[in-house]
Amino acid sequence: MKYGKVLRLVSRVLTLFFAVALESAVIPRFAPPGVHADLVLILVILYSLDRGLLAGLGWGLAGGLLEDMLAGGVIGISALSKVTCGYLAGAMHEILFRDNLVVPTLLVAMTGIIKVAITLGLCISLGMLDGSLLHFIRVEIYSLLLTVFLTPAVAIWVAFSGNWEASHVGTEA
Amino acid sequence: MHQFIVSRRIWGYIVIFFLLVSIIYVTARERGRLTFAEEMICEALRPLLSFFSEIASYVNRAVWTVGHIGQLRRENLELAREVAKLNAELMQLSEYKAENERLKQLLGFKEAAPYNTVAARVIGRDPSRITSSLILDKGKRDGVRKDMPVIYLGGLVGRVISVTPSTSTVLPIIDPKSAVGGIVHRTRDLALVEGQSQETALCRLKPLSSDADLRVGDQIISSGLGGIFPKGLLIGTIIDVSAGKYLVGKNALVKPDVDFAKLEEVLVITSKVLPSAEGDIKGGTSSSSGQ
Repeated sequence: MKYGKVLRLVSRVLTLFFAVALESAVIPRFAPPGVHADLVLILVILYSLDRGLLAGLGWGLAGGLLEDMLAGGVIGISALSKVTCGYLAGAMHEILFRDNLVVPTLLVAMTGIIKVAITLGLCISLGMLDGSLLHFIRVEIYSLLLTVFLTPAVAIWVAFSGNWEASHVGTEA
Repeated sequence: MHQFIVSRRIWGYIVIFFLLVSIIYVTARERGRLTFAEEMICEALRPLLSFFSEIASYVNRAVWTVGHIGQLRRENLELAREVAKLNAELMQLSEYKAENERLKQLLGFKEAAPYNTVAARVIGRDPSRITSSLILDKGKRDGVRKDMPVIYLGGLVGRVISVTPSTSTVLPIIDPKSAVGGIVHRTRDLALVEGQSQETALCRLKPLSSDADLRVGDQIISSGLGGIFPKGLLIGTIIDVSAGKYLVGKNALVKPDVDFAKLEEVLVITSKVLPSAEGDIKGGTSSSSGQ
């Protein structure tokens, strides 16, 4: 049982690293300028739905800090938005039926809007939003659509890796 | 009991919220160096970023090649003819070069490269897209230091804002936090070139004098006044001129010489020896020595 928990944790941390690397090195080459897919947000939502509030806080904090630290700029903007999204998704842990693709997709869309609002608020208060507000919102909408579009694929991958963990440990992932 | 647990979790969230807000405001100012944790994460992610970047480049090239196969065939034929013609010219030019070298030696001139460079690959971009920073695969071990200018072919890319042993982060000139001293090449008017946004990939030109003469098509080069960028690097070309604030003077939009969306390799200028001839537009490749 303990081995299973460690394996699951390692597997999820590695998935988080892969997601950040994909976000940073691959997606910008294929997406229109400025548009990005937030794979870390998808993972945070999926893990929060799976494990609850505390997991939402933990994965949101870890994923957001990872993004912030890789960027080498202001630390905490991504972390704050993702902690909030993870917390909200974790609160739905016992309410929602999690074994389909629609629930996480809708939740990613909703928390994505909250994430944009938090990021926008922080950027304005820090004086980091020099471009037009409309432009920022338009790009973020495209990014959110791309993120929502990718959610089912990531959810299937997470379910697949969960089954793999379960088959190797003999416990429910 | 349930109420207690729920309220405890809300307090947990509130504590993390205020902790993160404090960290945000502490780190919002430009920092001299990265924290140990940031360096560790950059170092840990570097192999993954390089790997994914290589795959993405390969796929990009493959898709482009398939999409342009007809054009490539035509170009190939044209290039074959061009190569034959250029080979003949090359022979002639090498004769001129040899003659030039002899004359230089006679005059006692020493051919000195204006600056030394380190070639680096762009292996990632700010994943959160809050800034438009670029992550390079060269760091302290390769001689890259904070505030070193970064160029690509003929144009200025930006400056290094943080360095780890094997990676470095570049703030491009299109980022709203970037400001570069510039000169309008035609009129020698001094101006400030500020980044507009990564989506438009344009810069704003703010002339220092209200009677500056700006025209569409004017080339902007670095002034060298800030002490970071050498003088004479090509920043970009004016594509639009508008009236300034309160109709005083003019402002302009500058299209950088570098295509930031397709940037894959750059050169980091490691020595700060300034270019000699005032007003010359010097490209990275034409004048760099460390490629």
